[in-house]
Amino acid sequence: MNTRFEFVVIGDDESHLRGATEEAIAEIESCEDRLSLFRPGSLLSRINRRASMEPVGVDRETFELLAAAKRLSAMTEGAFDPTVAPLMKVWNLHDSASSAADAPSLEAARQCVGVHLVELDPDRLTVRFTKDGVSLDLGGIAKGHALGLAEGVLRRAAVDAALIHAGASSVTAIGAPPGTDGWKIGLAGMPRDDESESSDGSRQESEPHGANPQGAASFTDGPGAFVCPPRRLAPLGSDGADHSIVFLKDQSLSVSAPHGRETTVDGQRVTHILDPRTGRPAPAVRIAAAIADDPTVAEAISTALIVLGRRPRHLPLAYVTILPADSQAYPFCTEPFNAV
Amino acid sequence: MQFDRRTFIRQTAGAAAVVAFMPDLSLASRLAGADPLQLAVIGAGRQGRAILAELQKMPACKVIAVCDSDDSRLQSGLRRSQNAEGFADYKAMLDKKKEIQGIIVATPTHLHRQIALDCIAAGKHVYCEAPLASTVEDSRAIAAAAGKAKTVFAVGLEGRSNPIYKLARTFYKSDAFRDLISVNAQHHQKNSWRIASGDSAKDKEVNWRLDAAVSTGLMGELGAQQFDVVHWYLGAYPTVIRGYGDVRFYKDDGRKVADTASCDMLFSNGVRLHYQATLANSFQGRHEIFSGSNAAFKLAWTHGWMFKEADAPTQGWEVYANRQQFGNEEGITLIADATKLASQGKLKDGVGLPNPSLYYALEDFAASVLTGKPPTCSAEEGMRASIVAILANKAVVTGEEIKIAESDLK
Repeated sequence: MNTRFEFVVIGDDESHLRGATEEAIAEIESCEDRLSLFRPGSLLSRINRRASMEPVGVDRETFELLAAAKRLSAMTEGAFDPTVAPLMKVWNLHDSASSAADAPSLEAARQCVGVHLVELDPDRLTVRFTKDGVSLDLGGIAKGHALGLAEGVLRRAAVDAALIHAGASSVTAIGAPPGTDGWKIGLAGMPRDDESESSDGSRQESEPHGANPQGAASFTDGPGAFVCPPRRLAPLGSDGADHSIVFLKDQSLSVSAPHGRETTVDGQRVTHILDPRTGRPAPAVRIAAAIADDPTVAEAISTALIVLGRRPRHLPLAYVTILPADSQAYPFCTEPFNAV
Repeated sequence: MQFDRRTFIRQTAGAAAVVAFMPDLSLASRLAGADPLQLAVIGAGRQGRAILAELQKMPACKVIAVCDSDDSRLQSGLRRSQNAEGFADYKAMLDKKKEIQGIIVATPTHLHRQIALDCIAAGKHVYCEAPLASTVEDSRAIAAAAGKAKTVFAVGLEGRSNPIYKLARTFYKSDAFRDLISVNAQHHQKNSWRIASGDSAKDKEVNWRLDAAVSTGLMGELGAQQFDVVHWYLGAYPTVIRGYGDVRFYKDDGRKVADTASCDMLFSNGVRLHYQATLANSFQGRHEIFSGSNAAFKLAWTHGWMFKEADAPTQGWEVYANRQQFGNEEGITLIADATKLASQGKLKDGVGLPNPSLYYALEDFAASVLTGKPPTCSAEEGMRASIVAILANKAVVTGEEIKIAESDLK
């Protein structure tokens, strides 16, 4: 995953907390061993080598993850798709240098993409690809899945307040710090609802619009969606009640932003996020985030938001999505993002 | 295919690097079409779950039962299996699942004896995690029972199955290495060993590694694997052990088992092994260094390197061998399957094993059961390694010099 995981764990017995955290880290490492696309000995690599020839047996946990990935693909109108690897390969997006895909290669790769090509047998716990060339890449939900496993370890160890985050893009909260309603998470890359821009380009602060007294995120586009007008970005470390702060308690937040992994193809800046439906790099929304009870779900939805540029139409209201208001396509985004 | 001289030598280099080591055909290909081996895993803690994960990659093996007396661990273990049946009691499992052919014992070390003996008595093939037992008496009892049985008994001392270690041993026995001067080994990993159970009543039980009454400490739980590599390479066991140990870092939880320990072992040919292990620092991880008069090997379980002396004779293939720089030292990478990888133009991809060491040890066990080949680490070898580790722990705990006679290892 090439990701730094950080834990904040609250409790009275430091030795107990340390033991629980070490176990959670071991679980994350075990997850990577099983599901990394880049380890030839992983179970996922074995599936990719064999599943087009014969059904491959998997453990229950992996099976449930694959089943969830299929459901998430449907839920996000195909904007999240775990079979996107052949397209990633054509665009060479796993490497730092990329090249434009020629039309025949692109079309051949597109024929191998789609969760309908992955057959799961829930009785035998097997996975099969219905044609050659199909390949699973769980990178789009790997961090979320790892967070979920780590969270499970901490909860079973009777830890009732903890925050785990994976890189700066996915975070899961157990309970809340004592005396608070939730873990305070800042989205420093997210436009502030209250800012206006003067003619000289400087920002003017104004009262937050729509924020509740505790500063929690408020939802301005109906339940389940949190929409920000396209303003200048909030400075890092900003305080106060504004729309770039969310409070998490027993929920997970995932942020997707295409910045930092971009390249130039045919004179155009493109991102590393592919639209599985078209086979081309997504003209990206600048930044997007999703909140869900399950970190795997949150991660899949935030990826889909970047591709779709809007909230998936039939996404249940329980899932909060956060997007810039006009959701116009930006060719690239260079603003830094940090979750604090 | 056109060959230029450089390509030819590189490919021959790959061949030379495996001159006395032909990688086994994968178990799967050898047993294509045969029914998978029906296995059970007793003990679903971290090691048990690691075992389940590796077995899941082997089509020649099918785990049909998982057993653990703790329901939370059992459920975690079952999630790592493909439709295995769960049991809280291994005797009930043996009684109900007669179709089990082989059993992996991955419980706490001090519980191995009775479980192993019962599985042997039930006519099952057994793979028992190392160290074999926590006392000399238990180690001997298991080895004696295994020696009388007609079934396979393998001990999980993984170095002997490790493709890189097997490759290095061929060079070790050659003029490329020549005379063994000394051995240094370490296991550094910052980890408290503290298991955080959600049920405080089970705290003592799950923290058996920190219980001085039953634990074999760092020497047993970590050192046994590495001592056995030395035994295997040297073909010998130590005659004297001195040990030292202390709680250097985890002072607040009342533990008595040292979190940092070292020992010196003297072998009958005058060679010494210096070993150190700590739970308080991770620098340079786990490795063994064999220093010889023509070269040194650094073996780090998924990787291995050979560092030549300046006055050692040069083999032709070395000119094109894959190398890695460590400060001022340059190591030739020891790559398993080098010939095949070289022919595919993927020699650089071969750096590092694709699977953890555990995978190869389990695969060898399955191969022993299915093909009749002797286990890579027998009960007797496992017993000797276990006794050495137990005595090393005794040296650490008591501060006494421990002398080992040949009869002590029988």
